[in-house]
Amino acid sequence: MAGNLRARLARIREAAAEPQRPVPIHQASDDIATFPEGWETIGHGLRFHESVRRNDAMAPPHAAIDLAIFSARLSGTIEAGNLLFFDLETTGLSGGAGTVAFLAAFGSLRADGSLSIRQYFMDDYPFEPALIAAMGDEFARAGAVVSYNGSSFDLPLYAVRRTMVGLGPAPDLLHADALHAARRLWRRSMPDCSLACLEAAALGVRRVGDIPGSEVPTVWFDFLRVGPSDRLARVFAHNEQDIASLAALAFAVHDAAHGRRELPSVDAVGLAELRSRVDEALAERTLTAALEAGDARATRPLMRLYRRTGRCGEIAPLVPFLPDDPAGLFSKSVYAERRLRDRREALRLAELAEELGRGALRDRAARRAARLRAGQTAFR
Amino acid sequence: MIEEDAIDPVDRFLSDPELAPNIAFVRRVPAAPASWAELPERLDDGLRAALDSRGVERLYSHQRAAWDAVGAGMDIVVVTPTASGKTLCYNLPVAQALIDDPEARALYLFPTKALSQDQQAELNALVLGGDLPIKAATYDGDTPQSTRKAARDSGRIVISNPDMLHSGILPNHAKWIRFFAGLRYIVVDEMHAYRGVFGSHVANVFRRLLRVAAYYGASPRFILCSATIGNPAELATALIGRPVVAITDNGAPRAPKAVVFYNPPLVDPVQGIRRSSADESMSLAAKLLASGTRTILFARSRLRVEILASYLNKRFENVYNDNNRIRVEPYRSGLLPNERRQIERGLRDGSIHGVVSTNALELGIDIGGLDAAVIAGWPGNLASFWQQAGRAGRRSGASMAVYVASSSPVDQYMIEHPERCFGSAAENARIDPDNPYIYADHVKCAAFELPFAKEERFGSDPGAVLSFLEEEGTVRLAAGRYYWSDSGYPAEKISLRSATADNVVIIDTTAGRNEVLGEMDRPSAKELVFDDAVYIHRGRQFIVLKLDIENRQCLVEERETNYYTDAVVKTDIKVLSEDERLGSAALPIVLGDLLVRSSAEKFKKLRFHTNENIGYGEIYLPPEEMQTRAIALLFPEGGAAGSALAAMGDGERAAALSAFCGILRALSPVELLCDKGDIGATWRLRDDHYAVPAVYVWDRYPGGTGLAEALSSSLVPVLEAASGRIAACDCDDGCPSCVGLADDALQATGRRKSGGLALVRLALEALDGSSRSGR
Repeated sequence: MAGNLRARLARIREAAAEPQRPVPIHQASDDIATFPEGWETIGHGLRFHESVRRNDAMAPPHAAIDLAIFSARLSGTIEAGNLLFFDLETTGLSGGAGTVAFLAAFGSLRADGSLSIRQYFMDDYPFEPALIAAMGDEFARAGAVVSYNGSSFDLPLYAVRRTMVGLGPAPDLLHADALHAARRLWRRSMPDCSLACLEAAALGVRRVGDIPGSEVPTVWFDFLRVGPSDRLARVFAHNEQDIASLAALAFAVHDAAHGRRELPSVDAVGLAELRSRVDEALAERTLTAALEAGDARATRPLMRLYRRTGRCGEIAPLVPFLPDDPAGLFSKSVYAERRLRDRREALRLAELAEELGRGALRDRAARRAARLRAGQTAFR
Repeated sequence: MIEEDAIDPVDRFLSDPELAPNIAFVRRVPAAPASWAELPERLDDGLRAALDSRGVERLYSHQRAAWDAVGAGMDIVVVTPTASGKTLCYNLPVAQALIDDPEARALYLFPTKALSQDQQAELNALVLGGDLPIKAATYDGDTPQSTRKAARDSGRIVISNPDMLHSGILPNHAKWIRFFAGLRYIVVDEMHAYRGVFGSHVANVFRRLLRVAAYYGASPRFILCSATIGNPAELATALIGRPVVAITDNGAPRAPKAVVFYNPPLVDPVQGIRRSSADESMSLAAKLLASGTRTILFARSRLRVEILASYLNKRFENVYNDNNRIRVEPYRSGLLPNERRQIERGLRDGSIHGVVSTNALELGIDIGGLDAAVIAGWPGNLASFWQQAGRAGRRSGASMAVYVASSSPVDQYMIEHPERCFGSAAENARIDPDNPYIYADHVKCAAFELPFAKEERFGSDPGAVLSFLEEEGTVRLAAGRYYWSDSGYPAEKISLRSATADNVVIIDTTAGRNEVLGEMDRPSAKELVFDDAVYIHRGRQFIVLKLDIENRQCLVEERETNYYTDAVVKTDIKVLSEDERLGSAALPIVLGDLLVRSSAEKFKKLRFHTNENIGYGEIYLPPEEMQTRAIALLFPEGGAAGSALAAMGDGERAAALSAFCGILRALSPVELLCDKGDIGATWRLRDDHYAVPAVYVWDRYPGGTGLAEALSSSLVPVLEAASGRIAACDCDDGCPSCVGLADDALQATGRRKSGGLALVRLALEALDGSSRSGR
């Protein structure tokens, strides 16, 4: 290549003259020059910290936890003490081979009902194999793993990191992602379903001096360049609190699904869905109550429940309660024609469904309306 | 059938009295028989059966040559024209390898998504025909999330494009372990598309690909395919970073074809202005379409495509004749995928009779065979010319390709030298994988993919970039390795196709609509969709309400206008480095870095059809600044050219320099595989930096893509072409076909043409020998 690459790069850099990433300024006041307390070195470049919390938000360690509540794909129960709650702090959110987890937290109930939270932290990139191996040991001891958004973020990342450090594919884990259940309960009432948002609203947790998740990578990069800081301690606390909140939330959702606990701002239809996985009768009561309170969205799940439980005769009477969306209007038109024998009303509803509907549904509504119109003139 | 139909449509066209006087050249390329070779001995039985079921009992000689070379473990590039059965050149050896080894995998790369879809259909035909245990999976931006995992895990052949490889596959290589571990072949089709910026990027993507493959213990071989270019082996070698064997003898048969060169009549002999090639091409296309000839019309720009398609459709709108059923569609980049598919389908099933296209349809997208191709203006290089010409009559039967020259020097040069089309004088394709911007970007991506060992080899000087990145904090050096140490995902911000990743999205806001019409890279947006510009999309006119560079969006509203807009771009330069001195003492040529600042401050409104200037508007946008590679031609008084300039008066000197600069820029694409728009040029009466008269030519991509270097070694043939063109031009004193038009002040001297020609000849004398032996 013509020209000197180094000189050209330097020139380009000068020309760009973009403000460099600000180097963190050390303020003597809130600066901790030493590593946060309570951490011990357990391997080359690997640190460990354990804390124990006593908390009445936890289930008794021998309580049977229904995994189906967290995922319709799972079934069976597991003792609360065999659950492993986990969460990673990473260098980025985008995934890919260059995104690394530098801090991992695991939580599990001890025999006395307290929550043990164990954290592992690596001092620098070359020590990643030790961190990943330690995570592997934690997972190996667990009966099932509970995460928050782990199915699309933490676990795939863990699998990639295992490959990158040469540990091979991860053994299969029984995994429950609590985010999915949480979404069913709060998607309609909360601005978002982040753990921070739900712990405040549902569990009354107030974090003090918390560090926003988006700043976490920078804290790690700064640690690598200039050493430990107060902000690093805050990342540790943040990570630890995530596990405490995750465990409390998971147990709260589990109790609510069993009807043993009320949670604020919960969507009844979503709650009924979780309940239907463990107790159809309770789910039915939940839906009926919602319907009586005027929530038309409860109609369809209730119809499905009747179909599942073989009570087909109870389905049709629910039709008038369907919401006035295109599919609901279509069903009501059928109902009006066949049950009420009111062809005029049936036509009105079919035409409405045609007007509001799309695709195949609109075509069906159009055919129905046309047939009803033709019949009307024929009878006249 | 009527008797008339027995007349050869080509004859009918050539004997049309309206056209005949303007036909400068006709060559009837006769049919040629195939050159055959036997199927290889050790071909798998299933594969043999699959071929048999498609009627393939033997191979063309080049297909066999490819098989043999691949079998010998070589990296190869196959150079063949359109419709010569090139896909078997790679499908056969790859299929054999995948049958031999159940763990083996192959990667097929096509420059566009549309091409890969055609390919999968083709592959499935081959594979299913013989019930072969080979699964091909397309993996690109259109692949739904739900099928991506299956493609990764079970695709024996993964069909993708360089962009997806760059931003989707390589950064996530840990999800592709089996694929990379088994990777045996990398097939690169349409290699000639990988030149300039795109090629320079792709060469680096290949470096990353080989690095990741090596990490999983694989060392794949390359099979590349290319249309005709001057230096296929050289380009292939530059792309993959190791020697490549070229297979260039085509064994496929050829259908007869007439190649016609058409030069529109002069309307102003003094100014050298001819009737517009676009208008003439449109009339020719209209004539052909009206006579039932299915025709493709190639235009040079998206704007032209839109204008021509709408003119044609207007022409056929007349309800009183049969032609109103003729349908013509515009086809260009920037259309949405479903719009493109629709047009491709219409062409294949015949419901669309004609199409006006940019070079987007040059590549092997399957649209079936058309009867005639009309090429409005020289498409820039021979590879494109033959690919466009090949759109007519892909399968068999006589067809016709008509090249319609514009007034530009290259176009007129080609009219005068039709033999260039039939000789072996194809242009050379250039890339510069070590362009500092491009290279640095890919070192970043590579560091993201795998930590860099300190002494690891990767391109020219990874250490230079890595230490720079380390200072910046993007990577971290620990225990002898550079680790990616940033929260970003670098590939996401790096586009392989344009100077900047930040595309501007064009949004239609007419009557509360909020629909995305297309995208455009930022520098182009500043020159094309500034406030009040007219933007044309599929024949509809839009006016730009607001170009919001900061938020990367451009709001437009549908509005009928009788004009289109054209930005006037101003350029300033500054020398940053002198890296190499070439040429001679009489005419030094300096290769180095240049700072170019360009700004569009006003625009012209030009009336449709007449191109009459009906007004100006202001553009308020910050200038674009870039560092790039350039050559400076210096004219010191010691040399003959310099002293000739010194002897002239100021006006005359300016006229001569501007003429020299104009023709140099215009004719460079005769030797370099690039577009006129890829290079910039300017002249200085007395240069600030060198203190002598100077002419600068630069690469218009930041950091350069090898064009400045290539030009420095091709100056003599370019200047020879220039001298021939000026001498042959029958204009009075410079016209758009030779040294270009100039402003009134320069024109007043009346010595532009003679001065420019003298300067070209003196420069040739000064360079002859020195430049040739110097490199």
